[in-house]
Amino acid sequence: MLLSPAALPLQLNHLEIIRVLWIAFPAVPLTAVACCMLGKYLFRREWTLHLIRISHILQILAAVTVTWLGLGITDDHYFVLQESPVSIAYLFSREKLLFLWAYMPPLILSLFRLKSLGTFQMQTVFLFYLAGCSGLIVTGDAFNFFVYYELMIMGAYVLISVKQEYIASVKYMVFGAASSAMFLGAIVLLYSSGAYFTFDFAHQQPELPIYTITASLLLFACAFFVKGAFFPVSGWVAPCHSAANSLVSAFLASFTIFTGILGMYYMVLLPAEALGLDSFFLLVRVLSVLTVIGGSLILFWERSLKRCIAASTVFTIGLAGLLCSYQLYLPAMLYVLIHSSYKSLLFYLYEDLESRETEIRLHWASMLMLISAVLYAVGFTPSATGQLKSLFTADAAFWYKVLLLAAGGIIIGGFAKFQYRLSSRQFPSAPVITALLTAGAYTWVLMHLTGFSLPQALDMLAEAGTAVLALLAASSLFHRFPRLHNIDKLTIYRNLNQELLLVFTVVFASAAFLLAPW
Amino acid sequence: MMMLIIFVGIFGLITSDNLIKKIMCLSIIENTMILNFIRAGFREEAAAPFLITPDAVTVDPIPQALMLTAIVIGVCFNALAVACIVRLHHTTGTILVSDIHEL
Repeated sequence: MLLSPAALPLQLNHLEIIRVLWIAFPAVPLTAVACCMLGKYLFRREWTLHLIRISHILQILAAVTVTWLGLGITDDHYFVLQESPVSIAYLFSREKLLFLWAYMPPLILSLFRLKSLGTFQMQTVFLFYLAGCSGLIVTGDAFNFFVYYELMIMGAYVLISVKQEYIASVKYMVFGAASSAMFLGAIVLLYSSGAYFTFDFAHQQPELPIYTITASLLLFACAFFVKGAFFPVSGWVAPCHSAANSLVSAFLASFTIFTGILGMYYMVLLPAEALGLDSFFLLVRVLSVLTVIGGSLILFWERSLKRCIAASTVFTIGLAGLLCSYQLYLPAMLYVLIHSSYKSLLFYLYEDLESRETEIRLHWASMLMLISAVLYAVGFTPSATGQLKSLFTADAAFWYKVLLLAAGGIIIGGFAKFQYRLSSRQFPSAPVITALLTAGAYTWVLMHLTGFSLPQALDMLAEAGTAVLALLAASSLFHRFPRLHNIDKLTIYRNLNQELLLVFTVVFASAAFLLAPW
Repeated sequence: MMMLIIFVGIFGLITSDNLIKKIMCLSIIENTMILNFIRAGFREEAAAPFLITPDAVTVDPIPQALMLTAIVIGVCFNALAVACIVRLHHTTGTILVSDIHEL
């Protein structure tokens, strides 16, 4: 009772407090940037690290307060800055709360590694990046989403090059700009159709011209296929996300990539549902199935553990997309939420390992964490993601079970191809322990929300059998043919022009798919 | 016409080997989108939406206001992209896609 929002001493309007905190949320890192600049160039003082810490703490406090006050609110609430149909709008909803908490694990863990950013410039860019992330959480309209996305992604281009990995940075930049051009095209078509920019435009204006709005949704979908790394346009994920240090990689592989799912949900699937455009769900379903299987196959051939960790995100995107295409939005968002915790754990854990080509030395505690995180990544029992997956597979066709089982086995095989050696030297570091606690807390919340129940004995047996088979098959295959470790160096597999051709092939193929008489 | 320019941009983006040319092609695509948006707000024989009388007919100011933001973002992207490509040239000695196998 004491912890209930209703027990607040003053009769404050909860929604009004949420509105203030929600609008101020992205302003916190931006204010920190202004203070950093003032300190550096006016007072000749280096306050940056302290200001980043203060910004983090303020955002964590704001997140806790908003969640505490907003837990009982089930409706969506738009906060507009002006009473105009095209005013900047912020949206508070249950789904947004989940994305807010998907942002928290990498944010909390970054407190341990702020010095790895190096220079004042990188630290300031990191704050800009956080402002973009925070803006994406709170925004409620398409154009504002575009602006915040660009702010975030431009920060990411610079942060990837923190270790002078300019090749990865340029690659990320080209794909990011191509998807942003599509996004801008979608906004133009949306405006031409007479629609507002707020995410509920299709509910407010159901009589929109069907061809223009379909073209707009198609471009939105294609932009999010690239931003969210749906197969076959996911070749950039492993090289780009693994190039940065753990602090940045954890953000990129958890929050940044999931803005693709966030955008897909608000700007493609919800409007398509309201306008009765069911073919969009079919399109997302087809690409998600391809992503699940294609993403796991790409991971299988990746040559380093860090690239494998980065590539495993593609499988998760596919599964979240699959859940969304069956309108299981809440399980999809929960999947995203829990992914951010174990993915951050994996990237920070990588720093504790001694990785020499295909041989990896690690502490037994790290080994246990790695096994648990891989099980979470593939959604095998007893992981919490397995619980979410079973919500979908319980009613889905049998071949979906086989597909997810096979993809999970391929991913386990991808991780099992390295030679692991136990070493008693490197006990897991403080950020890894914190990441483990965060992942544990998220699992507990997930269990609380979905209710724990073991999957059927046959399913568990199938998962255990697949895991053992994948372990044995992959390790013996790569041990017998060591040259297989270099297969991802083939030119046909890594070529920017071919990958860009794939992006536009996906656009035209998706247009043809939507025009087909399904 | 707009579609033709966009296709020129896409063709250049896919076929050009030079990274600077790729960035130029991306700019062509993006600026065509911006031009298209401003055209969406155009009205025949209407005035520009500033220093006007209350009953004057003006073009739609919203696309212009929004695209100003998009132009600023585009300029920032171009500056950042060129800076990264220059650094890439310092480290690899080339800006040709075919010479950088990791790209």
